[in-house]
Amino acid sequence: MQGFDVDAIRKDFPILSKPVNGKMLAYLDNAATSQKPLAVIDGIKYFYENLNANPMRSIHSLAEKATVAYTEAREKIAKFINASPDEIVFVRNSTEAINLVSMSLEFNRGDRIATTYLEHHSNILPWMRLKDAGVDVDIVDVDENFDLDLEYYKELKENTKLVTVSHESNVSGTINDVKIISRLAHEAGALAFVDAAQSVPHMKVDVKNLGADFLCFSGHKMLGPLGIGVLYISRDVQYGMMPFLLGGEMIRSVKLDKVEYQDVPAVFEAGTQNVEGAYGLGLAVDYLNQIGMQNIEAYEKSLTNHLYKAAEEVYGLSVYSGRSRNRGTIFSFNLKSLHPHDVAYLLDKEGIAIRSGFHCAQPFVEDKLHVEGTARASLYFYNTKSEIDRFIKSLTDINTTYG
Amino acid sequence: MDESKYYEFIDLYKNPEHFGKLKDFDASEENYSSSCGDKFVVYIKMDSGSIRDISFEGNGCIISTVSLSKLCGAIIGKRTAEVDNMQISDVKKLIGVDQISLSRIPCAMIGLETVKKALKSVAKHAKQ
Repeated sequence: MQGFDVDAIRKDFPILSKPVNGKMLAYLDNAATSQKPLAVIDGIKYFYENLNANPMRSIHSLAEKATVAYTEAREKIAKFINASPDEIVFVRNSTEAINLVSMSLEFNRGDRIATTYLEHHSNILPWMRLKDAGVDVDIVDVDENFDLDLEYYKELKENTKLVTVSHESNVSGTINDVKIISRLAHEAGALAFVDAAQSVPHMKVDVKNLGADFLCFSGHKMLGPLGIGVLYISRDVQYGMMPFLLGGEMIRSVKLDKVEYQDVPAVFEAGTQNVEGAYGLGLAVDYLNQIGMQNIEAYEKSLTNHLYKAAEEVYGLSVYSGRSRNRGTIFSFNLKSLHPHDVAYLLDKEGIAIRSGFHCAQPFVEDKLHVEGTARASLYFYNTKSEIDRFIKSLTDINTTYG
Repeated sequence: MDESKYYEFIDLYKNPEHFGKLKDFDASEENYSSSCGDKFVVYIKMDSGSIRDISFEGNGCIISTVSLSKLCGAIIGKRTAEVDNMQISDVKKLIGVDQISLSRIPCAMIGLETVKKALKSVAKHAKQ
């Protein structure tokens, strides 16, 4: 972690120095969305002032610049996860990526899909919809530490077509062993989908090493703009996928009696794309690379350990995350006798931003945590130990006043 | 909304008035907020077109619980049409708050919506 200077890093994020409710902002809602560095904010302005045109279509000089910007962004992002550019599809977010695959892969009556209890609604609902077409959907269970039941994957049912799993749970913070799960899926002849929305922002993710056929993440959780996300589709499984949205730039030839589609990624990028978003995400990746994903991971680990340790001193605190040996920066909790929204409200008065509610994971929160919502703090590499100390002190103060 | 208001609400939140199940009621309705996890059931006893008694059960945040508790107290004796016309401004008045942030309006409204739902179900039963 040599050379990791969090004070210098924070200067790159203008919003972090803006007061909230008259207090210094402590932004601890990074699992919902991250803040943006100047490199991304200024870059988007630069794009519209210098590069804007509709890429891949017109041939004038400006369109060429936009095409280069869009293409280079795809290359940078591919390299970031060790993929090839023709395996990178730009989408709006992870939700769209999962919906795309659920509609573009062919599923037949009697096929089986395995998702898990740890998933965000976006990795449950698109698959559940396929039940109407006669597809079976299994929900893989978790143990008391919220680790997935690996035995399930060792004996995958014969008709399993796809195994889908989050790399990191957005509630329990569990980091799942997606490498083993992908391998077990392949051994059983199934495809492997990894929802990496909560992991790609925080650690080095190498798709070839993980072995997944599909992997998705959202740009806005990793310093990029809102509305841009990535779906990785391994070259090995691209053949035979059906188009998702139909329209411009996803076709090779259109005759009224015969249509030929483009290959991946173009076939999945119908219509004018979010070029500003892709360009901005490329700049976010540059920024992350400059800090170094290994440095980010190491710093966040020490920050997370500091948080969990400090939390032990807070009376009446129930912690629902971090039980797994492998945990991310997510800290889900409740304070005795207060609703999570009220905790979030009272922390907000102190300038501390957290999330409260179901976190789009209602089955897990209700069936496994047996509560009607939790509060959640989630860290990123621009957070500091002193912000965590403020957070912990505020929890103690809330306890004293309202407990 | 001011934090001092929150503090003022805490006692009512912990021991809400009109909490529990009426022994005798004409209608009950449940309501659920998917974003918050708030869950309330309202029980209503009518008396010739007016609300004779009302109570609620369930769990929610300070704003939703206090709003519903105060609402119950305020509408006993009122006719269905009067309650149907109530809006967010009336709830704000009841709890004595001028400003509620956009994200908390559903909290303030879940009680009133449940009561309106229960009154509809009373009307439906009456027709049958």
